Amino acid sequence: MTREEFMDRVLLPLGRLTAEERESVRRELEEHVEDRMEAMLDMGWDPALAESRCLEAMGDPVEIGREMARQYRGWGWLWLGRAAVALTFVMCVLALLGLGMLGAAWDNLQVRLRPSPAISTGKVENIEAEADLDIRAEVGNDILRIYQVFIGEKEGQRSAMVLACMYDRLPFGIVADNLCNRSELWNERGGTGNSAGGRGNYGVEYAVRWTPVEPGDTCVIWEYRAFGETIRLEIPLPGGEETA
Amino acid sequence: MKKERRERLSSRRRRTLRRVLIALAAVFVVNRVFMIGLLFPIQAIRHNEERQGTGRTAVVCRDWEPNFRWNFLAYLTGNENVTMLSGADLGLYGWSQSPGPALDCTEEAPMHCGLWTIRAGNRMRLYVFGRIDDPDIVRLKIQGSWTTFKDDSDLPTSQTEQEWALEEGDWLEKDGRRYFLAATRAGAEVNWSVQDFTVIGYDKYYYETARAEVKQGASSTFYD
Repeated sequence: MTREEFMDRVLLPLGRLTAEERESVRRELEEHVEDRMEAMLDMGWDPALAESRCLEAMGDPVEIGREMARQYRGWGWLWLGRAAVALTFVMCVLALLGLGMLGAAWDNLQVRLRPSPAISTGKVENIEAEADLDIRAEVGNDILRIYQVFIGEKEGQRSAMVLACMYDRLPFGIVADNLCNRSELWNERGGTGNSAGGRGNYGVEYAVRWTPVEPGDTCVIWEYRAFGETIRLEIPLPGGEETA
Repeated sequence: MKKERRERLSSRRRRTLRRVLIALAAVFVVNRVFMIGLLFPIQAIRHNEERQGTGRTAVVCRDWEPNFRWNFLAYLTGNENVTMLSGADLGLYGWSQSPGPALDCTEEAPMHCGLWTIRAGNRMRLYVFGRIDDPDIVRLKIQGSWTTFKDDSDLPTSQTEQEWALEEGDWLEKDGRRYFLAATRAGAEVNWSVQDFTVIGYDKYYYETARAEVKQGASSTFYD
């Protein structure tokens, strides 16, 4: 019996295999035969004779085929595998189509390292002092972070302007929107100002708020309210101790 | 030299499990990083919750009106602090979120009411929904007018006086809280609308115990 005939007899009971599976089985058997033949060839056997003896030693090809068939039972597994491949392909296509969403993912990662300084604050004049901050609070599964404050002139008034951002606790998580509208900035006299800008996407929300302050004021309060939850963060004003 | 044996023959089951794991990993990455490719509508609702900052809510009911938009589901959900109406829309990128109004129910009130209008092409659907916190209220009347317009014209295409009477049996209950949801569809072609609704609560003796004008709302548009 030639090797080809042997393989064909093994594959005979495996009629329900896919082409890929049949090729895998054939390759496996070929390797078995090659492994067995190698030792015999090293001892000087004739290749044709060595192959014939190896095939005899492997046993009944039909029985081998039946054993192998046991590993390839179940059409359900086959169709599940094909569905998984199709799903993976669809996801890859969606990933290509959704490349534009990577901006939000990038923002979400970047804000954890360093909040963006490129936030519009509107017209602010005569900046007296500024300070970088890192004041954080948990809001549900988001993190509210105050990262900068400065004192200058806004709409003709001496004002404190505060920059804040919010992002999900988990990387690539979705942050709650409306940071600006849900926030107020209070001065020590209970007065509040207005929003000076902001921007946001699924990955991060930025907000800028200002409030009038007077010389001697040492802090302002950032208040965030949403669905019964209120967060108040005290923000020290730069140079506040000196002017007190 | 003995030839190195190549990889072990993979059974059908092993190969399938490997492919399934790869598929699940791909789904996770696309859902998480790209925020698209959602396989189930409830995932879109969870995205709505995250974006609105409401926290996890429980599904009270689901509304599907195939004649309005066959690939759109509206979900009424709620928790202790929030009653929310939001949507899931099936499109090229899988299910995607369609945010609706979220009612802040933390302030004490006998009822919390909201409204959502959704436009798809020249069709429009209106929802009035809410939560009833006053245990004495056993029936509701929702009444109001809905005026629809086409394009920029000031001439209405339709003006409807709408009224719903809901008994306790018509309400929905979840986690010990009572909710209501009423819906209707514009009869004419519409681009935008003006709505004015009031919800009135009655006790078991038919006395009016609460009245709320529906002020909180949202409108959404699908461009078909």
